[in-house]
Amino acid sequence: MTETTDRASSIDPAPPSAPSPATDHDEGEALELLRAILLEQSRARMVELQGEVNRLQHLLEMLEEQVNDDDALIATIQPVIADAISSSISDSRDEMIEALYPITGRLVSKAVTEAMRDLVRNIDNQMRNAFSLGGLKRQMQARAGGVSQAEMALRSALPFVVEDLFLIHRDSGLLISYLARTGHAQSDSDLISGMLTAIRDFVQDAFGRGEAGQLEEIDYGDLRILIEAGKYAYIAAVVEGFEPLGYRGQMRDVLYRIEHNHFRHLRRYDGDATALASAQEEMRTLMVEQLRSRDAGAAAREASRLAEQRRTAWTPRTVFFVLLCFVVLLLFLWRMWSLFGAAFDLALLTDLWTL
Amino acid sequence: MISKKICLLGDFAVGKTSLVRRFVYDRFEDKYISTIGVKVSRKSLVVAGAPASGGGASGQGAPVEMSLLIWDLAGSEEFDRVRASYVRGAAGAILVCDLTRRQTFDSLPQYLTDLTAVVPDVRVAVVGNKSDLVDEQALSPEELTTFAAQLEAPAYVTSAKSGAHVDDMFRHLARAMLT
Repeated sequence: MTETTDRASSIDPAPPSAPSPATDHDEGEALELLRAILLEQSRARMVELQGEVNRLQHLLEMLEEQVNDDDALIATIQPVIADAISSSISDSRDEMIEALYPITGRLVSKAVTEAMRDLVRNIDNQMRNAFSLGGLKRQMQARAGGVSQAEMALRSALPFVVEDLFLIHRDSGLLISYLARTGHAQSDSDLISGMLTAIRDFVQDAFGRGEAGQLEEIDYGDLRILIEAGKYAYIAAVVEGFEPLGYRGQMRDVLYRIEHNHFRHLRRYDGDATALASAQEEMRTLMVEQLRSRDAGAAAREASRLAEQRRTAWTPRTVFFVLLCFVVLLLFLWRMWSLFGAAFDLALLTDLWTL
Repeated sequence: MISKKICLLGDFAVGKTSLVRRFVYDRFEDKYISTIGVKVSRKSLVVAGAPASGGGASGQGAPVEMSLLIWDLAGSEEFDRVRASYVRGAAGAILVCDLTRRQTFDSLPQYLTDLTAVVPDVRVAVVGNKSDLVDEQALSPEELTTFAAQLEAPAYVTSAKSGAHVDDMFRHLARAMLT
């Protein structure tokens, strides 16, 4: 720029003497014309660059907005991350498995443990009821109803009542939704959810030792609190009795649906549960289905009868004791026979002959 | 109804539990504070909401029904891991010191630092408790106000014993959490 101006100055043939006003004007115009000719390209380039700067500035503002807006940022980078993960998995499967093992291993272990627990319950139940009258009756009912005998036995033998259901915000412990079996809302449900969260946090801090485990169940007398936690919320079910097969899975499904449907509200939960009202309907499936599927009184009586039956039944220990007594008696009789048997027999035969 | 979580922080025996007892509905016993380190209480109240954009000259919005879940944390000398998990998700916090013990005031900045490390956007109120012990004051209200001003937070001189300014303080914080 300076160079161009200098060049223009050097071309300018202005005389050193004082010029007339008309000459000045002409010279000024000529200088402007010369400037326009010489600087035209530079000016055009400057306008072009200014436009480019404006465009980049606009782009930068948009990017800033997207970075500050978590939702927009997630929407932007999600496809890229998904592609990157897919590509990494296909390119280096072993490394990915190794990296994810601490997470997947724990998940698999938890699922297997849960499945094993269900299986043990199922087998135990079948063994206990297989040869009883009730068992035979259930076999017939199961055949008629088209379900397995195990499911039939479980249904009638294990009482299960869901007393309360809490949907609680995971970080703050604020109650999002609540359902009670009786239909009457418990006035302290928000306090209970707060304390329950405090207990969860306490257990995690005291025993978690930096691992990703969590409190899953609390037992108190006949009541148990089953806890299923998601990323932003958790469900606590206050139940009586043993949950049927798959109930925990059902809890997980409901929680997953709630978190999926209300992701934005849960992520930045501000204490206003109005927007999450529909979550209660999802929760109701955990309550109503269980209540419909059983007659609590009949099941409790059945469980009591089975317990009594177990108490009075011939356990292996009883059978062994009776057999032992029988063997001891036989040995005693054999010994007596060997000592006095011959003489007794001879006398008896003589008497019979005489008669 | 809007629910908000509030935490009370401060050294041992500054009167946190007494402040809560003055103000709230209790269901659980205080023994939980020493066993698991926290007790949750609740206070329901109605406060003036945040003014709507282009609202009236009064600067107040429609009344809002609020439920404050107040987490009374056990006071200790250091901010341990347990307490960090307890303040998670809090919308408000009350930093409490004892006006008769200066060292309880000196420890407030540390509580604040640890608190904002977990919940950066938390609303804070600074409270000097035991104003009824007039002859034993080791801290002036001005010092409390200066400290609170640095945090752009309200300062309150309260007495859990007489109830002075306890209600005002909780209401002020409740309103602040709505904005």
